[in-house]
Amino acid sequence: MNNNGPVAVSADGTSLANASGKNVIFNTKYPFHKLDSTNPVSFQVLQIFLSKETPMPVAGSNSSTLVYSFPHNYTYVPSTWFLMSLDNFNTTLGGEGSIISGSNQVSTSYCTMDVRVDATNVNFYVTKYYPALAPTPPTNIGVTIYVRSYVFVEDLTGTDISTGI
Amino acid sequence: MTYAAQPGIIVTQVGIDARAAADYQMVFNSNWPSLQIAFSKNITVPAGSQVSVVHNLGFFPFSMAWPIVNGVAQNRTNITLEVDKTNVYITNSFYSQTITVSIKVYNLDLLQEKDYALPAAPNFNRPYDPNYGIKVSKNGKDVASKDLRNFILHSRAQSPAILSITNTPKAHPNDPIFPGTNILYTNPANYTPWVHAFMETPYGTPGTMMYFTPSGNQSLPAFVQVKRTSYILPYSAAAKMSLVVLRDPLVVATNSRVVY
Repeated sequence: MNNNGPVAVSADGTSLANASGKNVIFNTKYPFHKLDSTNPVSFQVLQIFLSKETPMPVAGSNSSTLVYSFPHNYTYVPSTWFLMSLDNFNTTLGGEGSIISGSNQVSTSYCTMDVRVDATNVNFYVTKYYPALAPTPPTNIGVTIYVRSYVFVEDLTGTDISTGI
Repeated sequence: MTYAAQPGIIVTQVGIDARAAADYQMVFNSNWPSLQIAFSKNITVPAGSQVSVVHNLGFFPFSMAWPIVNGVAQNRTNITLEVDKTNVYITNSFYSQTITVSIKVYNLDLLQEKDYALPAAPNFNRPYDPNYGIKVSKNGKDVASKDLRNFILHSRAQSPAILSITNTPKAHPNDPIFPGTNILYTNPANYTPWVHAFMETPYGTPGTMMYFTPSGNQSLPAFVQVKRTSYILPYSAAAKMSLVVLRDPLVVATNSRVVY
């Protein structure tokens, strides 16, 4: 007896009753990680233009400034993915936490794009790092951050898998 | 690709014949290789520590982890995520406090190569009709529930779908950016795909594959994304590595420009 969930599809010419592994081409044993097509923020491409400097930290410290926020339309903290670029994805920086200006070499100042998701909003912060020995302060004016954003239905409670399946 | 070439379960938008529908006219297709969550758990990880969690799937699974501080999810890159055939390993070297980490492990073997055709994407989004589709509720949950978390699948939702999984570095002597032996994948679609890499490293937990997002190539192994092409530059040809490329759902993204 297999354990494929309530709905399953076997490969061509294979009886589902005896199918397993590659011969089960679809099953509902596990929940899908879902993007709600009716939630307009489920799948977004954002351009965040920093037209002015965020507040400067004191040398030897760092500080974060909220530059953009949008409601995710859930009542809990949803799972999210972000992909970031500075040149409209000609080059991809990576995910949240990517450096958006400067570099992270020792004693050099830099800025990162940090994303924090609470039970209401997705919040984008610019964090400025200003090492005490940095010759110049971190700067973000004129930077455009391109973000591809997924906001999933699934929360972060660690309870996606229900019992009995 | 049409119905005739795809045995399985196909649900189309209202008014569309399932036997002749294009991919973007389908709200569900059991042939779409989408991400399913095989294991999910929250753990606490003290500052400067590594915690392992047993998943017991018997393969190296594609996984994600989210650090949570005071109920707020933080940058996923603030923690180190590694996997092997039995465990997920989370290292907290960024925070000076104990944090919660939410882990999702997917039913996707990082070391089983795959390659799927890219379906045609839509130009506009049709309105959702709640009277047509397919839904399967979780055990013990009401099929009439309005909370999509209560469903294994629901045709109002789509999952990121797999385009390719590549494990084997090959010789690319004529590549203009990174000539040599590496993993190289060029997205057939005209957009930068969602790419994730898991790589065995000389500094990670022995026998595991570490999660990477695209970055620079100052040290090896490296994972670099240039336009539509993804590169894994290995530190050793014998090291385990996996480039996972996912396509967008077949809905049109919301585009926004904001000014700070």
